[in-house]
Order: sequence, then C-alpha cells, then structure tokens
Amino acid sequence: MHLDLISITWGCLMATFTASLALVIWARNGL
Amino acid sequence: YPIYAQQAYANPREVTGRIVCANCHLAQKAIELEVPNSVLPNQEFEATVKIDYDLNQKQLLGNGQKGGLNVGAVLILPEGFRLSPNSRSPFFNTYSEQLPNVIVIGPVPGEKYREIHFPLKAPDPTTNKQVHFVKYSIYAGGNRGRGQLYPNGQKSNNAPVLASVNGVIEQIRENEVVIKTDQGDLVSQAIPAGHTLLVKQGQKIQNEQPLTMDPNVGGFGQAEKEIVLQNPTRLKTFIAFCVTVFIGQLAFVLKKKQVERVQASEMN
Repeated sequence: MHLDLISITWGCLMATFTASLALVIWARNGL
Repeated sequence: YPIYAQQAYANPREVTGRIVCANCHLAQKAIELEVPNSVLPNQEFEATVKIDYDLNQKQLLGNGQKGGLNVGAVLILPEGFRLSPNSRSPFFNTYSEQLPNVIVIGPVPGEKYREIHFPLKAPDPTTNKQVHFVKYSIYAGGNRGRGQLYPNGQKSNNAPVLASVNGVIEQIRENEVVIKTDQGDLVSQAIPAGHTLLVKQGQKIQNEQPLTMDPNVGGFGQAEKEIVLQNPTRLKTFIAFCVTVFIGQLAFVLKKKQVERVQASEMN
C-alpha cells in the first residue's frame, strides 16, 4: 500500500512527461 | 562473533567509518547491500546483505580440522529505524539496548545465509521528533569465515605463522619449527595443526617472514547505501501538481485547436 504510493508517484511523473510530449505533437500536427 | 564486538564496543561504527568487526576479521572481501530508494513512515521493508563466497571452500577450524564457513552481518540503520516487530526470525538481534537501530546476525551457516534479508520498519516523524523526512545513510558489514585475531589481541590459527626472529631453519618437527638465530640461539615456533609449511630446513629467513601459507579463505567487507524517508503528503501534492499541469496543457491545446477550426471556417 505504502510502496504503491511511491510507485504511483513515479508513474504519474512519467505519464505527465509522456502526455506533455503527446499534446505538443498533437497541437503542432506532427513533429 | 558479533558478541565479541557487542562486549567490547559501545558503538560498532568508529568515527572513521570503519565497522569494528574489521578489527579481528583482518582479511577483506566485498559484500553487497540492497535497500529500497525510498520508504514511507511505518513502512515495513527489507534490506539485503549479500555475503558471497565459493561454497566449495573450507576453512581451518580452531581444532585444526577443515570445515564450512559461517557468516555474520551487522546493519547500522539511521536513528528511529527498527527491526520489524513482525519478524519472527530468532537470528536477528539488536546490538545493545542503547542502539536498537543496529542489528546483528551471526554466526549462521554460510550455505543457507549467503543472502541475509533484514526485515525492517521505518519510523514516523509525526510520533518520533528525532526523525525527519530526509535522506539517511545505511551502513552494513558482512563477514564470512573466522577472524585472524581474538578480542584480546591473540592471533587465531586462521592466519599465517610469521617468523619471530632472523635466522636459519635448523629443524622442522611435527607442529614445530626450530630457528637458529644469527647469535646462535635456538628458537622454536609452534605451527598449529592444519597449516602448510612454506620453508625448508636450512633456509635463511627474516623476522616477520611467513613460515606457513595463509589458511584464511574468508573476509570482512562493508557497504553503504542511502535511503529517503519520504513524506506521503509531499507525494500526494506532487501527484496533484502533475494532474494540474496535464489539465493546463490540455486546455491550451484544445483552445489552439478551436482557434484553428474558426480560422478554417472564416477562410471558407
């Protein structure tokens, strides 16, 4: 349960980075 | 044995960082320490000390026979960290009443315990004011095999026999070597059972020169790792921040897409 919170936080950080990149690519209609 | 250190030293870690086991276990051999990067308050976790060695090796026992190696380890935790109360293993002990954050184990048979898993519990800074949400160091020492000295300074038979004088080997008897010094005196030196002689009769030797091969196959090593006592509120705040960032970015991009659609329809 507690270890999960640390893993969830790492997951959240990585997901935010990925989502950020994806949104930029979508907004610019490609790289 | 850990008990020797417990009797002789109030704190097993000297100011230089050396763990006191090294005072008797003179031979060095590396160990590995594994701990989680971060733990939360009251979390039960495990620290693993790996004391690797070749299981085929036999060591010289006190009686001159050959036998398997024992292992032992000490784990020096930060203030507040404890052995898990749920641990039912009889092998783990605290170093002393004053140092419940230092845990010792041993001697235990090396065949079974080359990897020692310490069950631990993290402290809670809300109840223990001496503990804070910061990065702490964990120190571990691990040993396999017998030591080279006893706590009283006497050499064990697990070390090479050194010549006590300059001279010539006069005679080699069973369990004894007689050296004739440069002055003509005869000095006899006991050779414990199980040792292999390196010298021959008539050979000239120097003081402190080894007369027998080093019978030792073990050694002591220490390792250090860092562990973060992590604040759960900090983590939850960070997750909320990440979500906010995502929603913010999404809003900007959706707005841009909307503007693009309006521009496209105006051009038509």
